Amino acid sequence: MTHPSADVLVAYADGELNDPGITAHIAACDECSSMVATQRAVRTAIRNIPETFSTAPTDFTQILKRFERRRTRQRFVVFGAGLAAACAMIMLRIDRQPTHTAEIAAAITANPGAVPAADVSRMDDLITTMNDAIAQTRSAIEHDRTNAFLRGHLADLEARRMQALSDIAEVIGERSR
Amino acid sequence: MGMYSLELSQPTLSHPPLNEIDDIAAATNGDAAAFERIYRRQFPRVYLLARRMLGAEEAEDAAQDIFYRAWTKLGSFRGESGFGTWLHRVAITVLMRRASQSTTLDRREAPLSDDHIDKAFRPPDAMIDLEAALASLPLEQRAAVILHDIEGFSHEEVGDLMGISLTAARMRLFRARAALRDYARSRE
Repeated sequence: MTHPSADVLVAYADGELNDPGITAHIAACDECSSMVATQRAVRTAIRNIPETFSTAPTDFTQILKRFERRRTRQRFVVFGAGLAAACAMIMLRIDRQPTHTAEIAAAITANPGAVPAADVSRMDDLITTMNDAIAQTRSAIEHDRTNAFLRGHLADLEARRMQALSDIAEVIGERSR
Repeated sequence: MGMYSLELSQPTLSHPPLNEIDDIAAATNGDAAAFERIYRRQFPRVYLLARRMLGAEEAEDAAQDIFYRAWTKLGSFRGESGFGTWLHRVAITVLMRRASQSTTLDRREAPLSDDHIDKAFRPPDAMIDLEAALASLPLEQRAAVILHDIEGFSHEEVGDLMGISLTAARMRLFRARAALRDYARSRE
């Protein structure tokens, strides 16, 4: 005899399945009817237990303040972790072959041989780190669009990046003369 | 915190009273006072859900966390499902995340007992301690039995709330009840 599967038995026990074939099987099968009885008995026992309710312990405004503080702390932890990751990336890049960012590549192509390779590598690292930080901050803002701190931080990062690119272009221009 | 036993039925999350509908509409438009009223009405049941899922020690903080998340996510409530179902979804997400982060919970998956034949089973109508019995269940089974047997959601709604298939929801329910039966037996 093929018994119905457990999910079918629980559906039958809870009145979510009305299949004459299943009903006939359960009526004729001690094993399945026992399982259905168990399911119903436990469900009934759980439903009959009196519930003890509790009143709200505090105003929601207090909860809002407490969780906003907690969230701010968590943001700083995430920001710190991101900063640590950026530092780690810089350390890893020291021994790597330089892969130029688009901005540095354009400046080098326009002024070939003007700047030593070691300097170009440092410029790449600087811009890459800034690009990563900007991308991470943008991603954080996607999850929290109204966060003024993150928006200010993004504006600051973008301004610093523009300044760095301007400085680099000036250095390359001077050396190529 | 004030505790009281309730003999009469409470408004459930699934069936809010009529004045709650106005408050939900106002709260979704940023009315904090309206949300405060929702919070006051719904806290008892949300707290109970949290206590059954996580235990008394963490329940209050978890319940407050649920309302904080609900407030910050109210903009995503479109009225496609009932507010109670939506709040339950927020609650289950928060509770499952907190439970998975907790090191104090036993998250082992209990094997399904081979002892399906249960002729001598006595309904555990004097079930000693519901919360202790529920706490003995793996988290996923605990959630399924609370949502169906206590909160009154259908199998399909349980699957939807937990992000699992209908069959998986039913299997968890089946295993949870079998485990509760075993728990009751072990204390006879």
